[in-house]
Amino acid sequence: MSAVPAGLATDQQPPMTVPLRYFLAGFAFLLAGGAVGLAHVLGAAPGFARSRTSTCCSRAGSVSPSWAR
Amino acid sequence: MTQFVPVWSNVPVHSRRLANAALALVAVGVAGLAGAFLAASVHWIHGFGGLLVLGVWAFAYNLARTLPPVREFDATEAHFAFALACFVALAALGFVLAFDLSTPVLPVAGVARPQVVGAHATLAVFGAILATVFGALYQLATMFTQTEIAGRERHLARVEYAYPAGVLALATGRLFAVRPLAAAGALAMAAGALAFAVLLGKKLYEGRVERTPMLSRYAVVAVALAAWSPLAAREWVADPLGRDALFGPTAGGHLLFVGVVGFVVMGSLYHVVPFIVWVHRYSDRLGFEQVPMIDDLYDDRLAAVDGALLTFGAVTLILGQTGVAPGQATIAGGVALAGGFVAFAANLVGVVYRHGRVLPERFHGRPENAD
Repeated sequence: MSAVPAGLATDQQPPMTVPLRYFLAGFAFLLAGGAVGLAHVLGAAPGFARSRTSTCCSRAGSVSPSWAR
Repeated sequence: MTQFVPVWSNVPVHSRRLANAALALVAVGVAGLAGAFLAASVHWIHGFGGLLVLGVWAFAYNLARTLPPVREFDATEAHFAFALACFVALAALGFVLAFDLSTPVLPVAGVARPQVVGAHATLAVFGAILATVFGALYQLATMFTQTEIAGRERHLARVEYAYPAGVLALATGRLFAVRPLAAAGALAMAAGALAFAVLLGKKLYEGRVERTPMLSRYAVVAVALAAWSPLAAREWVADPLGRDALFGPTAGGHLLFVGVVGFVVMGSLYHVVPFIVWVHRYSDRLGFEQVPMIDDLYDDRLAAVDGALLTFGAVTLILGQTGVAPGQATIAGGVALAGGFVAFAANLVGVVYRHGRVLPERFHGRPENAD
């Protein structure tokens, strides 16, 4: 289809291993955040997550928890 | 950035050990901090928050040393440098906020807690995240449409430089509750974002290359950003310091976080994941045998389905929240978004599963190179 990467220099690989670890760690956190968000929707989240009243997503909650008001 | 900067600037990363250490610190810090928040344990918030700050600073230092000298910056590198500076500042503000939970230090400094929260959130979302997104798109949008920024478009790119300046002014204005400064910064920021949306849309329109799932998602980003920036400007001129207008229009959060950030991430992953798998599995065999192309690794129809579901879901959800569509639209939009995300994840997991050879050898029925 469209793109065969031109000028592949096979003796010099782009950095892969370290970024891959970042990706995997980030993905794990995404899943964990989703789980906490789900727990919040179900009303089962403990601690500081419980008192949130906003209707928005868990992502905004991580930067603006309601106890900061 | 750990991958993007070395590839784009064609330099080795400053220190691999530091990159690994930063990842470990951030991972332990974030996990611990989340746990401490859930347990409502103030002391653990300090401890893990400190680790997180160290990790973020180590990451920023490593990348700053990797970037070329300031004089040689292009648009991409300049945006990344700005984002790194925001990372450093927002981590420090975050630690002060955490410290303030047990020992009130902010009254001593003469600022109220909501002011610091506002500055912290502004730097995080508009400085660290969105500036990184813009920097990456400057390169990705031109590279994959095989176009370049030339002629009158340079003026657009120059207007876009109001964006980082605006973020700085908005964050400073919010930190010290200086209303005119915050409003001016917000206006500059929105103008810069709008200029960038026009630039991105123009590149995508000009590009005479085959549509890929990545490019169609970037088109959604351009539309969402163009819609978000005037709405945000209107909201912020009225009340730049307000809690409800932290990220622009009250109901526009999904426009920004799903329409812009979400679609950028998903569009880019539609290239990054197949590319990494392709390099690992097929690049060495190119020229020796038939190998699939990068864009053959994922399922085109599933990509079209998830793109349609996500776009429909986002639009319906936003219309429902703003009250244009009835309340049930919010629920329908949420369901469509969730369904689209599952289809997207399934498509990419399928790429890794079918082509990535992640399973041990004995699970593969037939030998690899049997002709």
